[in-house]
Amino acid sequence: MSNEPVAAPASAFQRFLTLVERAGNALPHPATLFVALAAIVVLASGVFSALGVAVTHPATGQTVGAVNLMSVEGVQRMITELVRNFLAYPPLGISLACLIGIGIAEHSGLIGAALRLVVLASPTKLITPMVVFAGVISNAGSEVGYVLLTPLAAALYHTLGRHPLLGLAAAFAGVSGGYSANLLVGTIDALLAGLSTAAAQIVDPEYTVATYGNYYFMAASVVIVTVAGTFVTEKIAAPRLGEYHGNAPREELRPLAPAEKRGLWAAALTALALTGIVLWGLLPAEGFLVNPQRPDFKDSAFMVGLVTFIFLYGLLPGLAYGVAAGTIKNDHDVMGGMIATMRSMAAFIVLAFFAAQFIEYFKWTNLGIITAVSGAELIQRLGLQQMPILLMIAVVLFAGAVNILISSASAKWALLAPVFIPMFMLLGYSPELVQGAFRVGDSVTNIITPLMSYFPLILTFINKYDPKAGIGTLIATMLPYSIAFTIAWILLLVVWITFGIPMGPDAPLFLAR
Amino acid sequence: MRSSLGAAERSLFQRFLTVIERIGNTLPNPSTLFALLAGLIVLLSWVFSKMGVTAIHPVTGQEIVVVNLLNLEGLHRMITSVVPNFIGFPPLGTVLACLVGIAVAERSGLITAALRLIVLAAPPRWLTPLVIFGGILSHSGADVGYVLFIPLGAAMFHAAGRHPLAGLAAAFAGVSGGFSANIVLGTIDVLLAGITQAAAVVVDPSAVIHATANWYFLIAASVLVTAVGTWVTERIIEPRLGGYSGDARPEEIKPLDALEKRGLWTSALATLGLTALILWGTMTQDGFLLDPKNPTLLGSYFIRGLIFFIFLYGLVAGLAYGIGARTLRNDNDVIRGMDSSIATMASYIVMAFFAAQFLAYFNWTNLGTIMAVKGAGLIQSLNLQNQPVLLMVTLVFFTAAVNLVIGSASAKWTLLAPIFVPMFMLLGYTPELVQASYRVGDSCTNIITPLMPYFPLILTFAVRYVPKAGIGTLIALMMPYSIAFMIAWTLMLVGWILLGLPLGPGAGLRLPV
Repeated sequence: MSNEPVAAPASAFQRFLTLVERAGNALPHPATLFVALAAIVVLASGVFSALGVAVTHPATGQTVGAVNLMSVEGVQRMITELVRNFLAYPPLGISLACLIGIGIAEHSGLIGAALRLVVLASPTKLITPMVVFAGVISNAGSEVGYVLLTPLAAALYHTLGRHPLLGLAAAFAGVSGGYSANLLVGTIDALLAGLSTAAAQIVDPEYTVATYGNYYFMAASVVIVTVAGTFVTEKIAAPRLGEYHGNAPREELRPLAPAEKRGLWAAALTALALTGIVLWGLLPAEGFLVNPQRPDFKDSAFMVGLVTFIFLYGLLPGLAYGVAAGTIKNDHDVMGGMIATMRSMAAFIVLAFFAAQFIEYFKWTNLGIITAVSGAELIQRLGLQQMPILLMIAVVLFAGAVNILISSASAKWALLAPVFIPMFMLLGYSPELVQGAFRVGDSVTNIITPLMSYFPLILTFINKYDPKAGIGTLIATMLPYSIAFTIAWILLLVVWITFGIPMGPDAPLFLAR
Repeated sequence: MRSSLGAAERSLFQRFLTVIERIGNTLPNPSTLFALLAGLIVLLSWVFSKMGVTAIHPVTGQEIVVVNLLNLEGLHRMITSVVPNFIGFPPLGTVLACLVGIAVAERSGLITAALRLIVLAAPPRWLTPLVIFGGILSHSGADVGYVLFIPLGAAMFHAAGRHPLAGLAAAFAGVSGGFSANIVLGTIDVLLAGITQAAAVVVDPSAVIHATANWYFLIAASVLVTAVGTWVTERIIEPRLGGYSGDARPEEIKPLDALEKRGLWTSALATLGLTALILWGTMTQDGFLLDPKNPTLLGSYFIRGLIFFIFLYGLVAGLAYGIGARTLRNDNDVIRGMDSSIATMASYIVMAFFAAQFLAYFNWTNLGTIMAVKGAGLIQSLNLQNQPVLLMVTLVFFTAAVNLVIGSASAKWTLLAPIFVPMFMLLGYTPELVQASYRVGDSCTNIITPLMPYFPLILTFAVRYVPKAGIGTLIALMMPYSIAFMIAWTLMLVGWILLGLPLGPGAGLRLPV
């Protein structure tokens, strides 16, 4: 890493980022840090429960107090839940299952050859916006963007001769910072709309929020995030990271050999055939991948079992490439590739083990709920009722702040929707607008919080290129994205409110009076 | 090797070797095997459900039919359950969690130092039993026995002026031939208990199999294996090998230095402290590890959270050693140790991925339950259900034969448990007894099959002393141990059954009627 400014004198902002990185990296190993954080949570739970901190849950009306983990019950819970916490950590199974398949594509040489093909064939100027855009779109398929796109983008930039962390950052910004932006309606839209509906019915029992209630706004956001992400990557992150001097092996940019070309053809045909089968299963109403009870695309076996298809898309084209290019001779080569990939994930498994304990302990304490509810009540009392734009910005910033503690969008909205939606409905604003503002805040801080469950995975990918990189490196790299997205996205929201553009089909900004 | 086998003996032996080798070479990688078996299960489910095979569940009295997976519903289930199957694979999470802790004991050098302490402190007369016993103790670590202890055994015999291959054989016999013998519980106990439990719940949904299921039996087996192994080494192996006339110079076994001694002291104190804490929590009235509703040791949080305590013992003892002996300087050393131990599990994780799919499909089809019911019926119709000795000895020999071609203890048990555990439970025998019989068969033939994953490694150790040694040399060297262990261990199992002794805390031989 080129921390020392070489050519241009570092701007104050760059120096600030370097400071963030130093401070972050002066912290112990990330795994140790998660252990320490878990211990802090236990202590804090003791303090806050002794103080008798409690709030009223806005949805259920029940009193939620801080749960003390510094107690016999707390210790017993930590003892018996050790393994369950670890296994309940969502990235663990998803990442390992995807990567077992992708491992074949990697170790057969398919990914390397395909990267060289892309780099040799496509205009390099378009690569950054393409990576960010692909990241944003990948969110339609829940969380596979983290597992699939971020390492691939890092390898792509490395092949290009640029800093691999730059590609990783651009992809991560798209996947996680642009979490809510999308051109497709996904699972998360349905989840949030359901919570919004429940909250809106507190005021108007007839009101329903549709799954596509934010569609126009989120489609426009795709453009904003892609532009802002490209700008930050090229103008801020690239000069900061400088050239890559690490030791990670790099694909040489030599032209493809005949065997490799044959392999790529075989892989392309296999991928095409697989896609044909998937489309055949999805498009007809009676397709074999359509769920007969719920024929929506998002409920199809393809979307629900997306990990399986990522696995297959890694495995089958990888196999085809390996057989055609002669890099795979028997099943031991195949399994050897999978095993090598799993070996490289060992650090992630250890990190996941500790991160999972910390995240679960924090959930048990209720401290996240208490912070969210008391903060929401504070905003209610700010007296901004007459200034909708300021109030909406306050919602964005507050959602962004809470997101640092509670990263699950639905868990957060379950708490905030019953507070914010009735409040804004009484002022005449539609639940869809409030939900849109919330989702902006919910996205932008994903990339800078170690509580985001995929943070350890991204860290593991970074360490492949820079073994010394810690939490500080990742946060310092992503902070400019987070700030830029917040500003650009708030501006978009202001434009939307000023011009009264609907948030989605049948979703105006203001309630009909 | 100076010894020569008789002509007749050799040809029979050679033929045996050829058969093993041929079967082994046609068998695919264990992971491929499970993937193929999963496919086979899908086909079989179709065949048997078309044939209308059913059985009556003897406990619930309900009819069990074969569930066909070769249809739309089956396909959707397979596609959408890949990750839940993988994460739900019983031993995966527990093994990884244990290993994160045990890794610290292993990588700090504690286990090796403790083994050296035992062996160095002993008078020469006790060298053989101590090497074998050390091999048994090494089971608490992951692969430390194979990688570190077997060469140590050879070096120690060499240093004592005895034939190094005798030391190698004795250590190998302890580590691998006595694979199931142990004094302290390790990852393998956790692993097998998880698989057994998954099989047992088919008959009794409330069945809980603890890692301690076979503990008493394993402790007794440690004594037996040490005694028999010593006898074989001194009466059969050494007379055959004669004096060592090779070129290898004896390595000096370094006595423990001051730092290592200090490390062992701090580690012993830390272990004692932890043990005292657990005793205080379980033995005193209202101890913090006791469940007020069921204040017994078996119902305590110590047993329910045994994985946590295995993790904790490895961590605490290893940390104390590492700090005392200055082998762990900071938290990075600790986490890196965990990373590298988890990396040794890469092939296990890949295998678990495929085995988990196979196991889930197998359970969905009900084929295992039906086979168990039919098998139990067959045994009853032959009037053998009250012949535990005959049944268990058959199981031992069957397992030993399978072990020649499928080395991995967990892979084999994943295949066998879903059939044998429910079948014997229906005949009134406990899952613990079935598991104990399985483990006897699983151990004895480890040392004579070239398909055992560590076999090539042991061979490279042997070649250091006898450059001409090949697979045949090693198998011939180990054969007497294998036979002797088989006879003695089976006799012990028979005696155990006849006396009706419990196999572990709360683990009898017969299910309560």
